[in-house]
Amino acid sequence: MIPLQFFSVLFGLFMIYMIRIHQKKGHFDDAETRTWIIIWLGFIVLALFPQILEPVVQQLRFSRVFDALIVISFMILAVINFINRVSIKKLEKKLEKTVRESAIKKLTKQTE
Amino acid sequence: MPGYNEEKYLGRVLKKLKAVTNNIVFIDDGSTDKTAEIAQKNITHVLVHKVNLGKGAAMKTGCEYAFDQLSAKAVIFMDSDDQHDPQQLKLFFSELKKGSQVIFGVRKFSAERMPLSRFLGNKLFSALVTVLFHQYIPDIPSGFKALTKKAYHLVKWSSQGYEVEMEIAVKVAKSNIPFSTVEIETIYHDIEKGMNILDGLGVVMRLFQWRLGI
Repeated sequence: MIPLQFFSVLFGLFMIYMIRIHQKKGHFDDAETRTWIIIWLGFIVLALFPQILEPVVQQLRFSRVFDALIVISFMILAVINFINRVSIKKLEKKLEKTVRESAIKKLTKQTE
Repeated sequence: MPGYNEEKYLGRVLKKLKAVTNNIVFIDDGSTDKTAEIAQKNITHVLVHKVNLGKGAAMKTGCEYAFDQLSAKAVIFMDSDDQHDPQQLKLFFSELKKGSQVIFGVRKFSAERMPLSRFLGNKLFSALVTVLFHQYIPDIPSGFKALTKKAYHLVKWSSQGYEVEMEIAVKVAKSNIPFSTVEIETIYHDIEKGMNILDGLGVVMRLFQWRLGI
């Protein structure tokens, strides 16, 4: 096992531990927890046996498995980032609407 | 008049303002000091945001209250930190009477009155709007401006923070709304307060987003 594989496995295990903590706090339901655990177990398996991806890497004309992993990781990060941005925008709008409406309602009641 | 943690100046601003008009709406944007209490002691219409949302959101709350609850025909925005002279509201009243839909208060620029970084940032904003939206609007960051109800519905902004001033200018430029300007005096009290360089960079970024429509 090369150092990069060792650290990847440690990172995967740490992420699974984080998921368990958030499940206990009630942030994730069972289905979401299961999905994230499968994703990080998959990450650990790929870190230990990168040759699994060899056929895909050849098909996509990447020179190394590592290059393919980097490209896939960036794509996943971009998608997650986009989803987060949309969610934050939605939350900001909801918060703004609630705070503004409550301020107007309170003053309107007072002045009536 | 939006305000956040303005207990230092608000009392005297409201006193000066009451000498000119009684139609005042103050929006306390989630202040943690005595801003809301000072405002409530001085005027009737005080809207209180439970949390700090930003200048843009506070201005929108004020507009909606003024137009929907008080049946106002126009609003004039002023900063609550005593940077603007309420006596100059008369200039805006006069322009509104002439039929202007949007009036920008433009500060007299001089090296002694305005810090150099603000002066350059100010000019950069106007230059960028001219290049990207083909309309020269002077002194975009100035918080002293007026909108009629009709203009408000045309420029209704989504910005929550300081970028609201830029969004109003961009929407005026994009919609080709005729606007007028009035020359105003500005007094700087707290240089540290207001927009900083990071806010400025954020505004420039938003400017390109609006140009691209994202």
